[in-house]
Amino acid sequence: MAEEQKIQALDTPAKPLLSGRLRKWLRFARQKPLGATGVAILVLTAIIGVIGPSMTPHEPLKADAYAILLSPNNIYWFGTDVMGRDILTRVILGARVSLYVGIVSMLAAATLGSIIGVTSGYFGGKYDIIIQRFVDALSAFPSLLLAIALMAAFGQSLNNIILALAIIFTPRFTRVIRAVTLSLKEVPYIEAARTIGCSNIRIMALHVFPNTFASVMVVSTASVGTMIIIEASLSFLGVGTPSHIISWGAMLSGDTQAYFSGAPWIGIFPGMALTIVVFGINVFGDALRDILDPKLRGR
Amino acid sequence: MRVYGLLEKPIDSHLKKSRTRMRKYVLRRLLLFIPTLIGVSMAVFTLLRIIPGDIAALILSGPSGELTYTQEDVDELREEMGLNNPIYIQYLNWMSELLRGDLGNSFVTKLSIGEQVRRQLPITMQLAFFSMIVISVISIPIGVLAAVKQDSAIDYLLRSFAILGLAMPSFFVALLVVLILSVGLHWSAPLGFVSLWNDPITSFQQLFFPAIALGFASSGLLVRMTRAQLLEVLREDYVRTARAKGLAEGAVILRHAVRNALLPVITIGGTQIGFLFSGTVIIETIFNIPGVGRGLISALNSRDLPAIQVYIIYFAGIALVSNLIVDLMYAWLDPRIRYG
Repeated sequence: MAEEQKIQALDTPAKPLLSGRLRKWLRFARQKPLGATGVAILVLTAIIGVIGPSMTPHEPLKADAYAILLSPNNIYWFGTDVMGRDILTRVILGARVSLYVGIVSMLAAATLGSIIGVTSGYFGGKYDIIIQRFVDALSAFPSLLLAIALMAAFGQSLNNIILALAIIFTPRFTRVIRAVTLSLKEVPYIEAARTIGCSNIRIMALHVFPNTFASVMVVSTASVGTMIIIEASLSFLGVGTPSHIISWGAMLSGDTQAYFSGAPWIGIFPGMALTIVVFGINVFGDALRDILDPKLRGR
Repeated sequence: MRVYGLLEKPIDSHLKKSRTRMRKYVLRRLLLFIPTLIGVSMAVFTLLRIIPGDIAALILSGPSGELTYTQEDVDELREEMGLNNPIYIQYLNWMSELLRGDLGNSFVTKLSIGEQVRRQLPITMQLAFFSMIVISVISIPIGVLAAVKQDSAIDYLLRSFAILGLAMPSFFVALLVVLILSVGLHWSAPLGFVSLWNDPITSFQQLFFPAIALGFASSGLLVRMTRAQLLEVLREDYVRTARAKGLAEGAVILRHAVRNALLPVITIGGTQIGFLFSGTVIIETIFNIPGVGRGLISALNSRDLPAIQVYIIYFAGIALVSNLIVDLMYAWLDPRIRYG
């Protein structure tokens, strides 16, 4: 007991040396080292994604007939590809597409899913039943396959990938947020809000939605990794990003497969970049889920 | 209300009741399956009709848009394909042909899609079956080991392996497998393909590595599930009882804990079957296997609409059927479900 108090006393100095937010982050890093690694990976990737184009060592699209399939050396750190283009440059620029697709589709799916989930759970009735049948039907498809089908219908473009991913992932958000809304409906403060005459929209926006936020965060971080993998898979299969956009998935397709065993660096670096980013998102998501929603732990 | 005679044991009646409940559950589940299937077929049909541009013009322009055609050609083809009818008439026509077993002809090869799929289907089934074996062999023992040795170095190692498996896209795993095979074993993807019935050994050899690649890529989730479930079960009272009555630790884990822990794992595993089949799309492309997955990709690349339609319905059907089987199996394994 005395020992505990002493530790507590040590833990809370009279004058905080660091600001509250920073200390919170340090505590997070101590409790969840893997999660903190994830954050570090994501911050680094975000920085590369933003300032990447100004720090590339070579021209991303310039083919060089004298530098075809060079192994990694001190000019081309990651080597060059079949057309003599610098792999490092292309890996740096590929981060943009992965992050852009991941973040924008996540925001789109989370927004749509929140609106549909909250209203569906709040109003119930026929509207809820119809929405839930749609959710069930969409969830029946394996996500990569649905993505392929949607891309076949929409045509290849970056925005169509985002649209497809938003359609595929909205049901996941809807399902979770609807469940949370259903349990929130019975809570006294919602009843109180209704008693004092708040409108339905006001209750949903100011009282229900903010309380679903933890779940939204959990589903978001759990989905972004899959979204990025699906984008890469689509680009790998040649139905994702158009050929003029540099994407990690596309860097592994086509000619790369033919030359891969002779020149593994053309595929290994983009593949590793993809794995590291998805790994970062997944471990960050796991840590966040453990903190925000202990019930889901280990799932 | 029934009064039991002396000859009729109540336990029999209880069993009978449970059997009728099970039958009712199966029936309800099967009846729900039909509207879902119709819904999915409608969704796919409508989806592929929203392709920007005229479908007839798209077909006439050829796979890469190099062919020329006149407006008359377009009109003629539209008439021939029934594209001038309202969409629900088109759907009903297509559905009635589908139900009669006529899957239509490919735009590109002009051959019957049904024939094509019948040729490709056994190969994909075989690949999926092999990788399911790989997944069970990899993920269940690893998950059990990680749970039993919780928080040890082995646990951390195995868990990192699982997290890595989840983070690696399956095409990257497959390419690495190919790399290891070609550099280490001087193996290369076979050009032709031998069916299981003609030459089982060669056929097995051909699918062995692709199945490993697909299996590894899909086992991360199941490792984590097995571990988490087993950890939960190990805290149950009946496990403590089993230990208290002096059973060997191995028997406690295998006979009491693992059996119960695997139930939810089977459910998750079952829902993964659909994902496994969509994984065959990638693996078949990389390993050059003439299965349904590669069929879908070549249909996509040549914009062969009727074929795309059939392939997508086929994959969705597999996912739905495997979900159905899992639900039924689950109810059969766990009596609590059918009483619910």
